[in-house]
Amino acid sequence: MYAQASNERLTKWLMGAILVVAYAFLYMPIVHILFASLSSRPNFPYPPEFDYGSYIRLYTNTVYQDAFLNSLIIATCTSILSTVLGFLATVGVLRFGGRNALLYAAFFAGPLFVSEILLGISSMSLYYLVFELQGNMVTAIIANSVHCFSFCFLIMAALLYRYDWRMNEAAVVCGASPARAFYEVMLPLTWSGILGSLIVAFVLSLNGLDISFYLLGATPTMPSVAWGALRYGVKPELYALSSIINILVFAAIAVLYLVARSDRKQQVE
Amino acid sequence: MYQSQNGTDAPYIRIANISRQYGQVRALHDLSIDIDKHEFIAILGPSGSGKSTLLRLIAGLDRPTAGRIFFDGADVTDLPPHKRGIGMVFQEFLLFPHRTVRENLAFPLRMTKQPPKMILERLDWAESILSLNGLMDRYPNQLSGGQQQRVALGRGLVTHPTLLLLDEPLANLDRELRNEMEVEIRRYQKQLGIPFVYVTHNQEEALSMSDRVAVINGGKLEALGERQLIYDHPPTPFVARFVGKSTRFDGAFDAASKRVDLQRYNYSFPYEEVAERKGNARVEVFVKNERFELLPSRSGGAGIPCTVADVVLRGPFVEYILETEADERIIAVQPKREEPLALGTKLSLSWNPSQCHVFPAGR
Repeated sequence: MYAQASNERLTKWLMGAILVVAYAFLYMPIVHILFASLSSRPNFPYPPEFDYGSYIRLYTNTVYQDAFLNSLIIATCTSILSTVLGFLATVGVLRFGGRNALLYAAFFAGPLFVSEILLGISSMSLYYLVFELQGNMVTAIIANSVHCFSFCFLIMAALLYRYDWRMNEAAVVCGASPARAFYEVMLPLTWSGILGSLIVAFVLSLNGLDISFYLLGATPTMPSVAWGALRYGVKPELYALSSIINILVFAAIAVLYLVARSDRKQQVE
Repeated sequence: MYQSQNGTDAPYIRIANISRQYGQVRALHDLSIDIDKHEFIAILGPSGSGKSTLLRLIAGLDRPTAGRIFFDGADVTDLPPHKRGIGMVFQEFLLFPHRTVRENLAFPLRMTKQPPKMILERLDWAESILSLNGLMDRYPNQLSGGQQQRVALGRGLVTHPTLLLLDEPLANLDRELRNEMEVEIRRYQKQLGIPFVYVTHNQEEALSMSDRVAVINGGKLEALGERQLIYDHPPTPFVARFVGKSTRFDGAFDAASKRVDLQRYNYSFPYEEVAERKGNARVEVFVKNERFELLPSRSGGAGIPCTVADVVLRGPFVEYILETEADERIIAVQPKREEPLALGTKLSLSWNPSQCHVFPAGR
């Protein structure tokens, strides 16, 4: 009996250790960048000597500021566009898909498996050939939305799959117009999926290099500036930039986590 | 005899020659029902008979392929559901899970833009009439099935709608609660004086609550009439089989002797009403299970010999499961006496000819 108890404790310790190693594997590069960006010796920041110089240099560098603004615009527009389209596709598949719902869904999820570089190059040449569109912010947003759409579709389909569409009918027979029924009943019951889709699309298009790179030409975005800067050697500003983006992304994920938790709590109650 | 007899006034709700087709499938075919203002009408039918389709058409959740629907003289056929001023209660209740009972009840009042004073009044009214005291601030998933059912009813009734549609609202409740709610629902209907249209596949529910019963089968109106009439004088074999619990026998009608002979048993009984066909016509005989007469077998007289195979006690009634010589099982319901018949008792089964229903067979 004693042996069994100590065995259990050992297993617990072992599993804890594995967890730590796994997390270390996943987060060490990210933490290292944060460390390096805050250090006066970015190339070998151990032991640390804290210094905010790289952040100040980043702040005064207008190229990075333009790039940041552009990325923000692309990410915001892409997340909204792909979420709206993804929502409509989800409703279409789940409500009106009938027997072929799975087939429709497969085709909506398909672009997920196309490589981003391919999508970028092919979008660029297609838009130019057919519409004579030069690369600009609009084409970048559209091409990014193609990529993000599938993610949005999958996220919302997973959540709306459990939604009882007859809730809308219940609202409508209570005197709510279809728009009111959506706003008063469906949106509050499905908003966690919609928000999740917004956040994922935002993060994906904020970080995506390939698609924006081919479609934007000379317009700088965060990833493309970072990539360009790499050719002239790794500068501390780049570390600062990466860290800021990482913090932004983690904030978004934290919001997602909190939403999921409050959602589950509501269901349990 | 089986049609509405409400005289000269236009009916409050008129469903006129409604059809609904889904591709090749005919869900409803040329169906007409008039409903009075103070009436509780049950739409009774097996699953797939089209009764739920009818309810959705009245609600406006679906559109008929042909026919019109009138509320109080006005044609509402092309009106969307939220403009029809109806209430509806669903089998799954469909309460809004993110809203409290109070908010659920206030929802239809807000949607129809009632003044705040009226909303408060009606909430109080619903709280007291449905005995929801102390539950108003709970969420639907904190309520029992019966409580959820009452909230669903309240949400359908708070606006005092033109009519209330109920789609098998008791199907998800246990038996005891169901009996309780049957009485309650009928009481609300009498109190409010608005028509209730109650869809169910359960003939007991239909009979216990309604004023009139409409039996639907295969998308067609099989019968429509006062519940007692439907029960005592089923107009078709389907109604005879579906309403009440009956046993069916095959027989033949002899026009000369005016007698019905059963095929598998040496039993015949006089029957006055002439079957539609001439000569020896095959007929179906339906006898309600509570209308069998059981006599000891040695008493002589005509009857189907049988043996008591099992006895099921049902409170004030006893169900005798009887085995006949032809290896058929017949259930006979009798009032409970001091001592029920013992297993293995030999009996003679017969019935009063005026209490059974004979239809020409082979339809």
